Amino acid sequence: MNQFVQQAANGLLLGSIYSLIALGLSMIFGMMNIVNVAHGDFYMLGALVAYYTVASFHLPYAVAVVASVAVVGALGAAIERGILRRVRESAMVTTMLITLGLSLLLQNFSLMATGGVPHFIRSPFSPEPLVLGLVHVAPARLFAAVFSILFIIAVHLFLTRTKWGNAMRACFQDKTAASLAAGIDIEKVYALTFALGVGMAALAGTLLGTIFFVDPMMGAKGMTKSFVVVIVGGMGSFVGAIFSGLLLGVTETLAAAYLSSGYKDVVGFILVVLVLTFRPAGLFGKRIR
Amino acid sequence: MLSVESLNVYYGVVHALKDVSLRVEDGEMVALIGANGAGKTTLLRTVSGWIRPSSGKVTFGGQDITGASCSRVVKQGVAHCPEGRRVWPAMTVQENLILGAFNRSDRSGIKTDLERIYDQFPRLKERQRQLAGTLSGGEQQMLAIGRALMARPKLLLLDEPSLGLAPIIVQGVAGVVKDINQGGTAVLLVEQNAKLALYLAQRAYVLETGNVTLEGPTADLQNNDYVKEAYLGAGRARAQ
Amino acid sequence: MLKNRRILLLGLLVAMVVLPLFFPLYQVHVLVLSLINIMFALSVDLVLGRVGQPNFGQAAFLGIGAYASALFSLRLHWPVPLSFLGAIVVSMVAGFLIGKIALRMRFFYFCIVTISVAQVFMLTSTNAVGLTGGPMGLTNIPRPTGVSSLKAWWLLGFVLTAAMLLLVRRLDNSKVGRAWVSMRESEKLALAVGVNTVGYALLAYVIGAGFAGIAGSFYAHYVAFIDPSMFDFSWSSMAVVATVIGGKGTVWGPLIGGAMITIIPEFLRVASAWRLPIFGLLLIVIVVFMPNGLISLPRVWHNWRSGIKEQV
Repeated sequence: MNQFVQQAANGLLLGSIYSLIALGLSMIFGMMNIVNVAHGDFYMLGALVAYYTVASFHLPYAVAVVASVAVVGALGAAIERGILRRVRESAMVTTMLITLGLSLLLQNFSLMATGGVPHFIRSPFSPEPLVLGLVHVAPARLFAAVFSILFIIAVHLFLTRTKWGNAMRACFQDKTAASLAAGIDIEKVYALTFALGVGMAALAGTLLGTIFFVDPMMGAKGMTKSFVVVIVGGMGSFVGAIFSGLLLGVTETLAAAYLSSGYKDVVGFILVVLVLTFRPAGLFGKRIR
Repeated sequence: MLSVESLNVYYGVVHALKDVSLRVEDGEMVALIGANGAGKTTLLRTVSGWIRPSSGKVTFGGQDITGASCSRVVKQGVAHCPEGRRVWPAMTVQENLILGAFNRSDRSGIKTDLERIYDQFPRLKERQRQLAGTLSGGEQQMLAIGRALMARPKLLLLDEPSLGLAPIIVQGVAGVVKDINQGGTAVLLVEQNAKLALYLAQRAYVLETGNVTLEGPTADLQNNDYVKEAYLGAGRARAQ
Repeated sequence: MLKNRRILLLGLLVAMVVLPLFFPLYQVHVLVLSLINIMFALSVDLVLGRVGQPNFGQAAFLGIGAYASALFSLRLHWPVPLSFLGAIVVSMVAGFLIGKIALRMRFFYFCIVTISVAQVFMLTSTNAVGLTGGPMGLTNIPRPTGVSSLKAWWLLGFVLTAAMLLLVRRLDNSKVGRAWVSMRESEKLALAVGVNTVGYALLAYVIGAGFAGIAGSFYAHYVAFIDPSMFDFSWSSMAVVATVIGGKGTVWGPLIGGAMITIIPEFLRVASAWRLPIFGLLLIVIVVFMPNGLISLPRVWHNWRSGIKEQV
C-alpha cells in the first residue's frame, strides 16, 4: 500500500511537468493551427540552456531557469516571424514539414554542441528526500512539480486577466474580428503565442533537467509525451491537458513499478488508442480536429 | 474625412472592386447599397486594412492609410463592425467590450465609455458576465456595435447590421445607428436592406459588380426609377 | 523529337546501369544505399504526396519488412527470395491494419498515430529478446544465392527501384492517380464527386507499406545486420526530407531526393554530424521557397526568366 502511494505521488510529480509541456503544444495548435513537431526539441533546448548557464557561466539555478525560458521564447518568436509567418495560410502539412525541419536542425546542432554527452543541471536542492506523511519526495522533484503548477496557474491568469492574454483568446476564437473590430495586431499575437508555447516547453526542460539526464535526444521523448497528453486531454483544452498530463504521469510510473519498466513508454500509446476509440475528441475536448 | 480614390482590388483573377471612389464627410452617415457579391464587404475590409488593394488610395483625416495594418487603421479612429457580428463567443460580454478598446490606454476613459455603452444597451449590462455565444442575434449585434464603439471611433464601418434579424429587432438596431450618428460619429453603412439604408443615411452609393453605378443624396436616390425598380422593389415583390 | 528523347532516355538508363560497374567499390556501396533511400522515399511519398497526410512514422514498415525477412530466413530457413516476398506480404498486411485505423484521422492525429506505431514496434523489437535478439539485433542474415558481389547488388537494386518507379508512374496516370490528385487538392470535393477517398487513401498506404517492406528487406539482406534502430524516427524523417527536397507527389522527386541525401554528403565529405542539421535547414528552405521541390526547378527558372510570377 505504501509502495503504491509512493509511486502514485511520484507519478503526480512527473505528470505535472508533462502537463506543462503539453499546454504549450496545445496552445500553439489551438491558436495558430500549427502542429509543432519540434516541440520536444524546444524542451530539450530549454534544459541545455539551463545546463550551460549553470555549468559554464556559474550562475545560480534560478537565473538559469529565467534565462532558459527567455532565450527559447525569443528564439520561438524569431522563428515565427522569420519562417512560420511565410506559410501562414498554407496547408497544415506544410507547417508540419517546417517544424520537422526545425526539429532536425535543433536536435543535431545540440548534438554537435554537447558531443552527445548526457548532463545534469546542478540545482540547489539537497538529495535528501523529504518525508511528507506516507511518501518520500526528493526536494528537486517537489520543486519542479510545484513550480510547474504555479506557472500553469500564472499562464491561466495571463490569458484571462490581462489585455494581451485576452487578445490571444480573441484571436483564437475569431481572428478576423480581432483584427477588424479591435485592431489587435495578430502578427504580434502569433509571435507571442509561439514564444509562450515553446517557452513552457523550455521551462519543463529546466525543471526535469535537475531530475533526469539532459541530452539532445530527450526531445523525441518530450514530443511524444506532449502529443499523447494533448490527444488524451482534448485538443485546445486547458483542463484536459492538466488532467491527462497527471494521468499519464501516474499510469506510467505505476506501470513501470508493477509491470515492466521496458514497456513503460507503451502506456501512453495505449491511452491514445483507448481515447481515440471511445472518445475521439479527447477526455475534455469539445471539437474534433 | 474618409476618402477612397479609384480603388482596385483583385481576388486572384477576380476583379472585385473596379476604380471605386467614395467619400464620407465629418459626422455624416453614408450608405453603400448593392446586391450580394457586389463588393460592399470587400470595400469595407480594404478600408480597414484587412485586404490590400492593387491600386488606388485610401485617406482618413488627411492621412494616407492605403494598405496600412488593421491595428493602425483602428488607432487612426476607424472601427469596423463586421458582417455576421462575429463577437468572441467564448468570452463574456464585458470581455468583448473591453477588448474593443484594445488600442487605447486611457483607463478612466475606457471605464466611462463602458458605462455609457451599458446605459445605451441595458440588455448588455444585464448580461455582462454571460458568454457572448449565448446571446440572441439581436443582442449579439448590439454587442458587436458596442465593441466597435469602445475604440472611440471617428468613423464607424457597419457591415450588414440588419442581417438575419427579426423586423422588430431591425428597428431597434436602426435607432441605435441613428443615435450613434447623431452623437457625432460618422458612419459608413453597408446594407442589403436598401430601404432601411436610404432611410437612415444622408448620402448613398450604389455598388454593382465592383463598380459604383450611382451616387447622391438619399432623398434623390429614393425617387430614382432605377433604384426603385432594382433595390426598393417597386412594382414587384422583392426577391427574398 | 519524341523518338530522339526516347533514345536519349534509354541511353541514359543503360549508362546508369552499366557505368557504376566500373566504379570503385565504395562508390558502388553508396549507390546501393541511395537505392534503398529512393525506395523508401517512394514509399513515404505515396502517403505524403498522394494522400497529403504527414507520414512521419513510415519506418514502422521499413522495420517490419527488415525483421520479417530476416526472421523468415534465420528462424524458418526460407530461401531469401521467399523471405523477401513474405516480408512484402507482412508489411502490406500490417499497412492495411494500421492504415485502417490511422487514415480515419487527419494531420495531428495521423502524425502521432503513425509515429507511435513505429515506436511501439521499436520497443517490442528491443524487449522481445527471444525473437528479435533485442537491442543486439539480428546478425548473419543470409544473402541470396547468386548475389554476392556489390555489383550484383547494384543491378538487383536498380531493377527493383525501376520496377517501383514504373508502378508509381502507372498508378499516377490511371484512374487511381486522378483520384489521388483530386483528394489532395480538396478532400471534400473528391467526396462530393463520388471518389471513394477512404479506399484510395488505404490503397496508397498499403502500397507504400509494401514499398517500405521491400526497402527494409533489401537492406536487411544487403547489410546482413539489423537492430531496433530500423524503426527509428530518423529513418522516417530523412525519407520525408528526401521526398520534399525532390518534389512530393511526383515520380521523379523521391528519386532525386533519395539519391541526393545519400550521395551528396558522401562525395562532399561533409562531416557526418553536419548532415542532419543541413538537411533540416534545406527542408525548411525548400518548403518555404520552392514548395514543389527541386523537380520544379526548370519551371521556376523558366518562369523567372520570362518574368512570370509563380502563383502559389
